[in-house]
Amino acid sequence: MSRESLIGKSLPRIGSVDKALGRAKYATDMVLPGMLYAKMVRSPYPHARIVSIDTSEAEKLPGVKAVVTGINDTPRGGVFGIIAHTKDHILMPYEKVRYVGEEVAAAAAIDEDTAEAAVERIKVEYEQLPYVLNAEDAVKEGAPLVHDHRPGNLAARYLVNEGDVEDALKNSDYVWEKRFTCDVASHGLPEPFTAIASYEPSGKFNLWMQTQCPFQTRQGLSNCLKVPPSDIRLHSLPMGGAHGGRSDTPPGAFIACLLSRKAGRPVQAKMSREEVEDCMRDKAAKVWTIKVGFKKDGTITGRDIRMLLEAGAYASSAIVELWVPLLIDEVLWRAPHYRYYAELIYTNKTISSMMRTRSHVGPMSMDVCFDQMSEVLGMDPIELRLKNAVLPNEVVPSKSIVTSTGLRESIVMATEKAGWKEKRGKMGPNRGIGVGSGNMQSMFYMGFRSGSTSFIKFNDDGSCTVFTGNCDLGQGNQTMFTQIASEELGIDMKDIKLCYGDTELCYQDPGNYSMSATVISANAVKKAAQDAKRRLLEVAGDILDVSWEEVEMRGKEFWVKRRIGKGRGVKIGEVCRTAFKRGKPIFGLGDYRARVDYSDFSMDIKEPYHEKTYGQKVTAYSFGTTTAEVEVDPGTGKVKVERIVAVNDCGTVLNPMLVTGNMHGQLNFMLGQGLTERNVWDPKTGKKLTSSFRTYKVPTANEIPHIETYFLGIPDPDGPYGAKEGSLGFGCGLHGAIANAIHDATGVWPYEVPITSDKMLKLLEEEGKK
Amino acid sequence: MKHDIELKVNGELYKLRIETKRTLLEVLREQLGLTGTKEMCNKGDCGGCTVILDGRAILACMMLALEADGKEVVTIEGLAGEGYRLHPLQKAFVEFGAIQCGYCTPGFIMAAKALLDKNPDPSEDQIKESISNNICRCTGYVQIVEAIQAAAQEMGGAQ
Repeated sequence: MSRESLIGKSLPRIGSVDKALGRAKYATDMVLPGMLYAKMVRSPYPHARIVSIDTSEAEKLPGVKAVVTGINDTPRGGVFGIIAHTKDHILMPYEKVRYVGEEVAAAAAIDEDTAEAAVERIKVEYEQLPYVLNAEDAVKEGAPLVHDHRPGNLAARYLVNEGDVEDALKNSDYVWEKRFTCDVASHGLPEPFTAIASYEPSGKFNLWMQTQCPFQTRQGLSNCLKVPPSDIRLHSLPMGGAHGGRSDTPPGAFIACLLSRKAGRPVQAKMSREEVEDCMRDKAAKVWTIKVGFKKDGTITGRDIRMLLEAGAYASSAIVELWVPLLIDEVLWRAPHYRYYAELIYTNKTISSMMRTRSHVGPMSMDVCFDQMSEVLGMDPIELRLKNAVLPNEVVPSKSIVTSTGLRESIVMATEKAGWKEKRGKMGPNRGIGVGSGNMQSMFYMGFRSGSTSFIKFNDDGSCTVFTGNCDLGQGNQTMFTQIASEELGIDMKDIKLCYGDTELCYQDPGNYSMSATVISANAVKKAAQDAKRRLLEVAGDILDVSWEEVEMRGKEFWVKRRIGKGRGVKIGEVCRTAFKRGKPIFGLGDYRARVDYSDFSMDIKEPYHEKTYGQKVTAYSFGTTTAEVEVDPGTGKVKVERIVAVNDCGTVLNPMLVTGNMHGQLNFMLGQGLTERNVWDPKTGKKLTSSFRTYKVPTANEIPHIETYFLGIPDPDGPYGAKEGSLGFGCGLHGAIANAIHDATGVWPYEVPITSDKMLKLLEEEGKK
Repeated sequence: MKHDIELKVNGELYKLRIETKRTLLEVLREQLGLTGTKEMCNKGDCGGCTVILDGRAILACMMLALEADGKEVVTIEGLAGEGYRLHPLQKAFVEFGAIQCGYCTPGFIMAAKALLDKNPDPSEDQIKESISNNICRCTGYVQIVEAIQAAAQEMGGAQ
């Protein structure tokens, strides 16, 4: 009997036994012989010129082995930015600081206490400058310039303008217009940022640190240290959370490298919880203004969107959030005439980056729109959605083709499972139900990094090692890669070892950047396994004296197909050893390139994302719909989500238990950002006031509602076995579902996320006055 | 100032010389090399460093090692049997997918163990309450609660 397929089986996460035992070693657990401990000198001001730095007192302190400053040690011309146009971040600046907490100097010493004492003795003289703390102020005439050469604090902009949206809106029967906002959110990563750098006198840097995309991190370090990428090796480790917040090249890793080179010893740079929140990454705040034109029959005629996005001090990967809301919006709901214009604006705040919840305020705006317009048009709100939902193989405004979508099916299934029709408007006082849809990309365009290469080597005992440059943030990528290799090779998962995320040993890979692990990295592993399998069959065929097509693998043995169980079977170990003897060991090589246009960003365009925005941008899109049932406490304004039904269109489900767990995680992130999580800055000092879990309220087990999850199982043409991103897209509509449920419960419409108790009370008060 | 203390950790007695300011978390991780207990927020907000001290779940970052003198501590490393035989809670966390990045896992398992030691048959609300001081950013807690329920059942069945 041939083997039962592993695709669609619930398999536990590889690595979780070590984690359960407390044996998994994270960066924070690592100690190297002779390791020194680093502490940073951070700017107390949101915006200031660095006049001078005096390190002499620190250097005299016994136990201090190296001191670095931006002025003395940062290589000139070394700048971080994820695309050429937004290279704006000198990882330890020497001219000015742009947010409270920015690194200006650091010391490495024999222990943390000595390092702390050293940085306290470093004297920095600043000339304070006026600062600006939100995007709407930053674009005003005369606002302080965060970067002197960026007028209007404009970091970057993005435009898609298809058809004639103004004319379309003018000729529409109805035009719906609203303004939505969302505050800056935190990743709230459990493991404090840690980088251990060890410089070898030969010129090589070894690094143990958390990163969700090792090759991008290495490239950033290479640019900033001004050393070739091949002189930097990132080792792979388990890491305590990422969620988009470990995508960029962090100053802490760069400074650890400088200190290690100077001291000639390994250096650990670890941040406290507060340092992580103040000085690592946030998710950008948005102001989202949208106009939607409708015909009397409910057809959307056009959509006009403007977004102001707050980068914080540097463009970083917040630039990605400049176009991701377009990628989400344009593939959800059809719009023959379409304009999307977004600006990324600098402010003197913590740097923003990507986050798994993505552009929640975008999908939310359309779900609120459908519910409001259904009353104006006298149409069923679900019918209105179904009428305007993008269908498979449709071309969207920016000319991407949506090859698979189960959006309509997900709306129908979620509302049916939730009993939406029976419950809406009938749940009693202060209780209500709402629906919202979302989507996500499986790999958007990333230049030549839009592809992954995987390698498999076979050992003499018939086991093999799979190499992939991707890594595992906890979502289960190790399991996915091993499962797929096992499926293709016909070898048990326990006989397949994985070497991942090591920049020295593995080929280039996008990493966990743009949800590329399933469609890109796993497809590369699949192809490598197919390549290796062919070589195994060829050698086995030689031994059995038949052509490879006549050979079949059963268990750990190869047989002639016509005579399985009869005569001779060749063990896989023998096949591998025979191949070694011939001087041609068994290996497999697989490469998968994303199906996207404009994969070459070396083109000489000043603003690539502004001037050249048309073409296939995404290989596969995942979709889904959630419903939320809420209860609003009119006394406190507290919104409690009691039940969520979630339907996921993630293509073929590779591993239901793991995808389900990832879905719970996404709903948890969305719930927190929808209701309680917000960052606040002190306008008088420019200092963040929400740098701890006490002040930044993430959900606990007590806040988690009853959750039901379902899969559509519509295969995608490009994904491995039809799979696509499965953890994020389905849940991105939850804020729309919550907003609509709040309206169903109370009659008020929230337009600002998070919908905190104080905001709800205000809305209820205004409603009461009507 | 330095102090001599005696600490029983996972059944083994340690005689330690510690500085006054060292927390139990620092001593476990740095002096004893028991890095299974995780440092997360270091100020009592997240439950990441939960260990069991004389039968009660406590936060190791909020206690001076000096205060633990003469007491008995169980950490995540002390749960498994010979040959890494998983404790029912550890087994259930693996089998129910309750571990993603895994950084908060030891804290959750220790909090759950303290609960089950006192209350072998807890309700879902009691389970949620017992882990409500622990923050997880990956799982959304659902599979964690399921795993604790399953472990409770298995441990009850064994009695």
